Amino acid sequence: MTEWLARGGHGFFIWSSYGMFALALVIEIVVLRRSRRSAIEQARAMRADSQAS
Amino acid sequence: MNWFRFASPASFYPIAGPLTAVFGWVAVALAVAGLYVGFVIAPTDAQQGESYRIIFIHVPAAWMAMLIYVVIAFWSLFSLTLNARLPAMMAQALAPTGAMFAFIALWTGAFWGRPTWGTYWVWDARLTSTLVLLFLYLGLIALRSAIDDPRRADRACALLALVGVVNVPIIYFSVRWWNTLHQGATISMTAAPKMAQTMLTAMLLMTFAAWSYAIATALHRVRTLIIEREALSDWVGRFIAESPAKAANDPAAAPRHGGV
Repeated sequence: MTEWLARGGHGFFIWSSYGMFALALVIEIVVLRRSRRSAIEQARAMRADSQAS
Repeated sequence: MNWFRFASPASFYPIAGPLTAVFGWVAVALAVAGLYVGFVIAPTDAQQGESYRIIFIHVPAAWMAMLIYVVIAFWSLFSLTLNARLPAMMAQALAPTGAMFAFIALWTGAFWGRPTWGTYWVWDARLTSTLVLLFLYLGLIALRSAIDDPRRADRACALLALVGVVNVPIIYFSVRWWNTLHQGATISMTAAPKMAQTMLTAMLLMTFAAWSYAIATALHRVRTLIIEREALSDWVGRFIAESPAKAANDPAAAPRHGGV
């Protein structure tokens, strides 16, 4: 396993690349889901305000 | 079938939801297959050793960064000429994913350059023009957030996108026009592939995965934009009423004005 990860001495470069890509994907997906939730909540609040007035 | 029907946010929204899920899962399946071929089946490169395996994310990310910008310019042209809402939202929805891919292309390129060229960065034509692409994406996002009126922001961003698209052919042909450290085109339409069949297969699988991922994220983001921009329309109201409400802990759902 260690040898598989070492990638003939290039492990650091390969896993830094793949790791950052994975991190970027996770961040984008989390932000997407959060902004969708907050958009729905904001729309609810706006509608509640406009109906109340 | 009248395709223009889907040009209105109200009719596009319901089909975008299921499509997001489909493209998302297709991306996952293609990425698993691509990583399997790339790491288990493809052999070690004779010249570069193991480091070449960065190609499986570097090239797809770089292609997507360029392609997404061209698609943004296409939607921007639409939104300017037809003054339509949905194309502008599509352009807006693609920018963050394009920025992400541009950043990943630069990052993976740096970590590939170090073991093969001996440096993380050089001010070479290909690298510099790709950095400009990242700045164009960030510029689009910043310009958008600096203008409060969405329709004015649409027009300003569309103009910036159209002016900036000139950078894409510069990136693409930079390895031919200038003497660069970066290698030439990986895939050419006119010449036989210079890489092993399994390496090419893995790279193409990862490319289609990235493609599918970008479509899924853009559709997801466009739905959020539609809710934000059309919050007071009747159909968004119906959707919000139908969506699984967290009424108990949702302050917006509670009576806010003394139950009026």
